[in-house]
Amino acid sequence: MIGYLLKRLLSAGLVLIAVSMLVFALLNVIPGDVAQTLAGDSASQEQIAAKRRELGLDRPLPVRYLEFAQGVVQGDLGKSAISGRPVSQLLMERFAATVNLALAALVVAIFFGLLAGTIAAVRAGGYVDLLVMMFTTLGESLPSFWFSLLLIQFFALHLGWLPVLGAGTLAHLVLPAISLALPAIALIARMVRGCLLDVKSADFVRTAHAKGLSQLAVWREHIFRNAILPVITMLGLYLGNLLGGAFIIETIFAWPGLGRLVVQAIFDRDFPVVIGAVLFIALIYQVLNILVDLAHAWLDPRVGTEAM
Amino acid sequence: MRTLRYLALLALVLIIAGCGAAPQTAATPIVQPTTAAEAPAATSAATTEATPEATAAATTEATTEPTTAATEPVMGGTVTRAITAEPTSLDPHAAPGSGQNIILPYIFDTLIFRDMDNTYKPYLAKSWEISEDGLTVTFTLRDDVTFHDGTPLNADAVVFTFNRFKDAKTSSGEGLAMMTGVEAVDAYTVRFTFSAPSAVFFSTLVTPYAGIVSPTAVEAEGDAFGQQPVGSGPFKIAEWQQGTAVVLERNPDYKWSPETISNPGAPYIDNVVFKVIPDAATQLAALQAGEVDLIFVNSPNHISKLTEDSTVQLIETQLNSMVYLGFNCAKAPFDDVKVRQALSHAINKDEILLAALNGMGQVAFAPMAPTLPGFDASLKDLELGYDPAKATELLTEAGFAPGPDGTMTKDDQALNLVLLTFARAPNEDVATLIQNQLKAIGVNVEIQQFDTATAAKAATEGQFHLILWRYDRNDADVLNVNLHSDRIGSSNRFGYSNPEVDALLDQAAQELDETKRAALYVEAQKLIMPDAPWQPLYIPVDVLAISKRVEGFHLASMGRILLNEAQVVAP
Repeated sequence: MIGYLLKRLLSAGLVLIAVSMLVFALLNVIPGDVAQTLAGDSASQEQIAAKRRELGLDRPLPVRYLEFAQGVVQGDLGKSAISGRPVSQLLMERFAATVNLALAALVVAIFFGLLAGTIAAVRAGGYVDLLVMMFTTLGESLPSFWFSLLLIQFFALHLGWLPVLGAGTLAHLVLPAISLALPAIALIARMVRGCLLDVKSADFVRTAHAKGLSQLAVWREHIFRNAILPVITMLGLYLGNLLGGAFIIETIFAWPGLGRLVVQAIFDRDFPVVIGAVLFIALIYQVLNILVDLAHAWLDPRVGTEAM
Repeated sequence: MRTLRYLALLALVLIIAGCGAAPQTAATPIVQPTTAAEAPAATSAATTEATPEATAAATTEATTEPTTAATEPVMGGTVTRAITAEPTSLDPHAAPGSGQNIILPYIFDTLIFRDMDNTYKPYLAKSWEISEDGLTVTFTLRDDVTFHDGTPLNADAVVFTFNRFKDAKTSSGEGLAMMTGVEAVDAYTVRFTFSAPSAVFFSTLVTPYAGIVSPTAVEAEGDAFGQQPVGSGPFKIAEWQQGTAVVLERNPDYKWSPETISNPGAPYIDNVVFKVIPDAATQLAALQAGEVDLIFVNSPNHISKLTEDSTVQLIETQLNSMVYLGFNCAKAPFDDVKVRQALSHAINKDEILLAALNGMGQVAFAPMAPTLPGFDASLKDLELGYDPAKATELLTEAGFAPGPDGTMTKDDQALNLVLLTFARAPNEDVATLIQNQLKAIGVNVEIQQFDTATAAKAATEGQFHLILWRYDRNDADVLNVNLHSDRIGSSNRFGYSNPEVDALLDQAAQELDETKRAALYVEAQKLIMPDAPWQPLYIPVDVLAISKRVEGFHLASMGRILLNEAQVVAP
């Protein structure tokens, strides 16, 4: 187990290095740089060149990368090229808001996803099943910006129950969480239904029925327990997705999360912030991946750690 | 796809025309162009493109008079304003950005104030004197002003501020290029010296970037000054909720507002909150839900939605801006003036205004916006107006003939052109209309639309034939910046060079007499217009939507909305 963990950590480290190199290289091929942003639109080429020297952007790419990597190893992600504030501080300010929204969305998604998926599986082939499946198709294909605006129109403007935008109270969380959760609800419902139906026809379920167990007991003790494993894996990965920042939802609800920070930084060509944020998000993915694998191994003894 | 879109637009136009009711909703009366001293190189095109707020200029004289004017003002309350982008710094001397230029004027005062008629009025400076030769300007300061941290605002603070501003080397400070020094003559007298008379100096002084900073605070805070700015303005910073809002509170000691403001003292309201709301549809919803009091509206759809809302008042602001079609004069085929003229004649501006802008705004004909000095209605005679037959004729004269597929061709080179623009409504629609109008004379256009930074880079590097661009600038020097040959390779993206024009522009830059200066710009335009580096398209209109629960907004020059007189009259 320890060996497995070490191996996973090592590979996570390699992935992070690769991500940082890739992002560093990519940012250098997109047109425009922060020197131009800082010097202003009507600045002369000399002024831009001077800013570039001032920021050290005139040095070769590998040199800058090594300097950046050295900083990261020492726990320093550098400073924003525009505001001069430490990148780690910017990330932490925004990360709290992102975590709030992601967890709220996850709770909503799990609750409604499990409920809908289970009902559909129990009533497989019936009208309820058909309705749930129709809803999941809709939920997966509705554009989130449109759905969000619809929610705002109805709940905030028409009924006046909830605030249009902002963060702070529980009421502020409701609409963005639902918007963000909608595709996840659909995904979870489909997956739960599929897994339940798979397990339902397994031999050990037939045996359980044959033993004379009640319908409820069979579902609870045998089907549900076995069907939930892949759902947990999916949830773990989906949480990574949510934590990576939901730019569109954050923009519409003016939610002060990570996604907006990154996109604004890209528009400003504020590369230290972009790289820091991407690295941070990649780190979250890696950690969640490892946690999911460990949870999997722990829940299902058959998942041999040696084989991985 | 584009054709379909065009057909749809065309159908719309026909329907509107057929009904005999062309939308006249936004036929803003244009105030006669003033020849008064002009204002600020507020910001560069690229930084303001995202924010009409930045330079929303003020031709509409619109002070919403408090109904309670005769009685005691209503004290207290909060006014909330939506901003599209969060400022990165509230240091006036940081890089010019979209968020801060809206907030800075509330926190910082400037030496002089620019009135609605574009004249300069005393502010922190009681009076000023320009020497005969125009090489020194001496300001006498008020002696009763203190910064938010208690530091007295005196000559030393002004000297400190302008040295810092010049050292910052941002484009917002380029109006100080001719300034050679600034010194304190006595405690409340400051003298600026110049290597040559500088016409843009005064307009630079009224930009938010020329706000006077507290030297004590700058020295104590260092890099953190951008987060904890200290000025002498009517409001001071209370809290900056990162990613969400900037909160200001009233400065109770304030008593030095410019005289055009009826309230000389501290503001009546307690707080101003700038809420960061990136999405325009959300801003609209927030205004209608009463969560914000003030937004800028660009979208024609949103404006018509708000006209039905009785809780909101709309004020049209005409910007010192222009949207134009630029030609890359350095590159074939536009190195031939005949081709530039031909394409200019192929553009139908009325159609663009009607189909892409719902009839809002007004058609432009000269390079200078009507609200800037140096605009002259007589220049209309020189306009290369819509005339497709003339366009074809000029192309033929330039040696082009229809190729096998109908595309105009010369020496086996077909006219397949790249049109560059930046992503902002309604650029895509305008570009599509231009594409189709040029198609009609046998010119193919490929539209390339990018985010502002990418588009600016491509524009500076000359990677285009045609460019659909916009300027927002409150000084007539907009022509120097864009069309002087010294600026080729930076802000003159058009590769346009005419020595006679250069000479006139140089002369105008050093002419301190505003009437003479305006006349020089008119002369320059008479040379520029036949050269056709630009086809001016239209003057955009932005609308300010204000909740009726707040009264006493004071709309000032450069689109500033002063809140010194604002009162919250309803909860």
